[in-house]
Amino acid sequence: MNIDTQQRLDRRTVLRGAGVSVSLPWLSAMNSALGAGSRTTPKPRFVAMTLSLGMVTSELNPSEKGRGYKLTNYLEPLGDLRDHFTVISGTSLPGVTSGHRAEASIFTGNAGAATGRNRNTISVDQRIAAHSGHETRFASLAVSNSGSSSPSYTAGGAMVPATESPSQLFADLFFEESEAERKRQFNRLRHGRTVMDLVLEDAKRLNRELGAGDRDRLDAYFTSVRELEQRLAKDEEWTKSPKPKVKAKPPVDVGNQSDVVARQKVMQDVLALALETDSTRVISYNFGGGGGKVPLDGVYEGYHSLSHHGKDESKLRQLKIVEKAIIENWAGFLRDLAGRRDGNGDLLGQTTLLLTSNLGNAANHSNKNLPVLLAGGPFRHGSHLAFDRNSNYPLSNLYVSLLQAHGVETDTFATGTGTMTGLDFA
Amino acid sequence: MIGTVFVFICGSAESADIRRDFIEVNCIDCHEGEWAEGGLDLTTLATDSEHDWERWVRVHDRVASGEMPPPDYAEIPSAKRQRFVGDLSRQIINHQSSKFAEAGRVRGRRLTMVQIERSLHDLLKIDIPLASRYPDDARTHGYSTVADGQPMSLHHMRQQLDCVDLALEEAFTRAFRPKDATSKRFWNAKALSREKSSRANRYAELLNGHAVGYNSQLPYYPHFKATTAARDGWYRFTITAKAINKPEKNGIWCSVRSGKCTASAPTMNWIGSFEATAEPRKWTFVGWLQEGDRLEIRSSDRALKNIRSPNGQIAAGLGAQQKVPGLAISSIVQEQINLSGDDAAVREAIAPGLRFKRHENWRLGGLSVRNDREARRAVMRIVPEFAERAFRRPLDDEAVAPYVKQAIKDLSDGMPLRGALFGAYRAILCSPRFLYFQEDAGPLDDYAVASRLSYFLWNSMPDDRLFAAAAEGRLSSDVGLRAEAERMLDDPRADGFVTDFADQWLDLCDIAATEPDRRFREFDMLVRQSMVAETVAFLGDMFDRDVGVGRLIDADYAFLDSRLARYYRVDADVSDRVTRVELDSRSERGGLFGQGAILKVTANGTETSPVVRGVWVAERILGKHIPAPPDNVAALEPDIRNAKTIRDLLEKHRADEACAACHRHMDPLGFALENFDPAGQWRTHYEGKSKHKIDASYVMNDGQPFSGFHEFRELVADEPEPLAHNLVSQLLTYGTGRPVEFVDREAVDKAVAATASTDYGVRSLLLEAVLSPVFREK
Repeated sequence: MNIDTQQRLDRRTVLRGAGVSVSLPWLSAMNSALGAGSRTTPKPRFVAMTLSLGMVTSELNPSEKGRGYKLTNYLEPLGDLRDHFTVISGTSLPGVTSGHRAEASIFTGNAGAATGRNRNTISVDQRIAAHSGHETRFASLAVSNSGSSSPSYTAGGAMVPATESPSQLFADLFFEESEAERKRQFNRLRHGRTVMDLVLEDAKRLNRELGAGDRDRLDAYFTSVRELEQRLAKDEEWTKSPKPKVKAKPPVDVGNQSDVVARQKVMQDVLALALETDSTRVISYNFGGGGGKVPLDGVYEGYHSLSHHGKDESKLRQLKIVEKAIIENWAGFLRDLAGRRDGNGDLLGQTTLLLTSNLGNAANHSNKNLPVLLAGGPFRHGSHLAFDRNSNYPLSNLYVSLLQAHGVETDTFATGTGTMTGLDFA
Repeated sequence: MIGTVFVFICGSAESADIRRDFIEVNCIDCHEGEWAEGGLDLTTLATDSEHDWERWVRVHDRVASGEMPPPDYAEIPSAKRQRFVGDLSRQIINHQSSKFAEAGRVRGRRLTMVQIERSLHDLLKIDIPLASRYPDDARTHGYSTVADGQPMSLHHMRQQLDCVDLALEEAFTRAFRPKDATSKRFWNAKALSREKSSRANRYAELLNGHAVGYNSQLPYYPHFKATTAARDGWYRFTITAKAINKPEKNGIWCSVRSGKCTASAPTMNWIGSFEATAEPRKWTFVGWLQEGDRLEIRSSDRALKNIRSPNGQIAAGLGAQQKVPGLAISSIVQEQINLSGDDAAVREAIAPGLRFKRHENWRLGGLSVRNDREARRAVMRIVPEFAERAFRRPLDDEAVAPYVKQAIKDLSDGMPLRGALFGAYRAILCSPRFLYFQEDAGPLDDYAVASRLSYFLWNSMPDDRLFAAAAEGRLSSDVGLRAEAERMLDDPRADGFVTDFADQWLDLCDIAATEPDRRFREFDMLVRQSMVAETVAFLGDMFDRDVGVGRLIDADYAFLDSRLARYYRVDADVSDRVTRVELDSRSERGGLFGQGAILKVTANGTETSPVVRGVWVAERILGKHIPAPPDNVAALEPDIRNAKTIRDLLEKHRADEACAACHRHMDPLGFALENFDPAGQWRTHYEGKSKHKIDASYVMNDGQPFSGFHEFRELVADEPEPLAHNLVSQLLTYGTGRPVEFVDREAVDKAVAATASTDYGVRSLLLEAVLSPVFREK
């Protein structure tokens, strides 16, 4: 599990891409704060990003299988990281259809959720958080480019609301309250648990007065209250230890909702800090496809409208500019993580990153042949895992692999019935 | 034919025969097997899930309308068609009504964030913004009130606890503080201008007794340090100012915003706008300022000359040299105000009948009880009263027992009375009885009707009079219910109704979601705000005067201010507040389709799409649901290479019959609006290099042709019933928390028919919607 970056990644490559990062003295301070135990316990992290508008997969997927494939247009920005990611083609989620609405299913694999036929089920990131989230201040984070929608769902099928503001997130992660304020927080949380006890008692009585339909909804309330009670108990403990300190300046949010690329960059910078300080180990990122025009050279039309390119040359040319910029940003994130270290080595080696979409082809709203890039973490990378484009391999098997990588002992997840063929641990 | 057709298992054997015969003869050729047209395989379509039933409803509607089977495929005797449609209709109604009888139409609906905010305001008599601190509620079927889309998880519970804490902290702080936070400050021009006149920056400059800022696109120019708020609160500003170097024809439009006015905290909050004239005038605005926020009052009209500055900072004298238009302020008066009662009202809300020992820190204040026994008695009196208001119905002792017991326990553990009350309220406001609507299957009791009605019209809890009406059983009668609804509509609290409803019905809340391209030069944030004000004023007037629903489409008047009139090229003598303007018959601006806000939210800021606008018009205005594209079939990918215009493109798309089946319902509606650009201005040619001429003619799905926007508008307005039907359905979806279903259609028809004598007046439609069983049953 421990990966030594120095052997796997040229040091200069790392620094070239990493830009400014946290200075070293602080890092060692953090390590000692975390205690000696942290040096030996692996802390697998997971960052799952999904694009609402798919990707032109012909620009993404190499024509050769296995290792030694030729870099495609979209993979060029990742060239120096070749041994740190796998490109996976020919996969989809069995039974999941309904175009854009499959956003609800991308990390849950639940076919019914997209059509509205049934309630959604837990997403892979939340499943991981349920397993290991108690070890960090934030069990998981859900973030987005804009809006509160996220691909993360609780076991009860409720969407986890996303945070769109990097500056707000930064404040939540790193702004320290005064001693008095922390004491007040502690009391607030302690009394919060009393509140949860009380409302549970009330809800039980109410439950007897309700009809079947409402009782069903109240079940979700019961679960929420119980889970919150447990979470408040953990938060209570966290108020006793100070929040981590970082040298980075608070970020400035990008005002233009259509500037998804600039927003991605600012958000990723905060996420890197969150991972480095071990404030959380599980992140979902909803990369929404706003209607507006992304302000990049050579782009004149709205992003959503470009995704319906209908093979039109001009539209495709513009769309490729946008999509390549997103991947370039993502590659920058990978390099940033590779340049940060904790007691167990560099962060890229400990963080599995997934970049995918619920759409394989936005032009016809197809949910087959999804774009999939997997990077970092404990996997052996460097190849193109090419499955059958006509008869897709279940992407849900990748989720089983991910769960196992995070120590969840299971062989199934949604429609997944085993780990992904050809994807091995390093 | 292979095998027998599966027919769903319900209804009598005879009814099954009717369906089997009809489907075998008329449908099965195309709708069988894996490659069935439109993904609809009638041999396997079951009735197991609501999804299946939805498909049967579509089968019903398309056969009933004569669309299916396609006329060129088969001619069906009308009696046969009627028999099939009638039978199917009965089956669907049987299914839905038995389901609703058992569990109700609407299940487990809860308050939206906005409803929680306003309820907390009414309960505690506070006024701080709460909902805007949290993610927007998800909208399902267009509305955040729809129960099916309202999630509940530990994240939502945590948010609730957090929100309640904010509200209670505010209430307790206000109740205990020594005096109300009212302040009045006055600044003259000197106090509003930059301190050192030699310094180039983004403050106003002092010129002839005025604080002057010039027309510019620079953010925060000019901003006014003096106006920095010492604490969070609502402030009323009175600004006295005039225009300088103004253009001949019009005044200078300025925006008023608040924020930190620094690059590291760039968010600015909208407060208002005005048009400065050569003569000095006064304007008054109310806005929420956080501690440290200050005002920015700027002119940034792109149609006017901008001040030129070498480095983004403005030196004194530059504007005068360059003769740039600008705003000259002579004074600003600032008062901190309460929007919902003074501190005494807050005290009455949280501890009625008790005396407060005041302290800046409420935790060091006190409530005047002489001994423990009095404290306990106070708890037993106050907590149940508070719970009844919060839960919006009378309660038996058992229901409030947990809350009272806890407060008493806190007292005996040595907690002071104020803390015990705080704790009890905290729990009460997280209770499901506060968060959820309590509705029993069947006809709603008076208290449930009261809650539905007040959250529908006010987005808040019932007031004392509505509670009294419920207690007296008056809401069970048509007369009583109508009287209360009328009273509530006339109450100032209903002022927000149109804004709240139109925000979601017409997507007005998305008005700022995209920023129009620079090509649309005249569009700016002032135009955007005026557009929303226009649509809200237009609808508000319709509800006030009970105007016929057809006028939604073809009114011969509009509500404009001078900025919009200029933007629309309407020649009218209007001020900077939207007022009614009579239009001549050639104007394209009468009715919703000519309103900038509608045209803006149905485009993406860069280009228009007849598909997007068409679907929007069909679903929001005509009440026709357009299904999502069918589950993927590879053959469906459109090939639009070489399409010169959007019309060519869609023609190519429609060459495929699978696409055409739905597109003929939406494309005409969208093409009719093509003369409006993404920013809502009228155009005759497309933007960009091609400059193709716009052709807005088309043929409606029922075969009626139109030559362009004006004829289209007439066609739509000439048939008010579908418009009325849609409006009632939208109101009922918003007001009850579930879309109108097949079984509800009859009730909607009745409501519509009852208003024929008023020319389908929109207020009458609203009242009939309230009186309908859809509103009055769970």
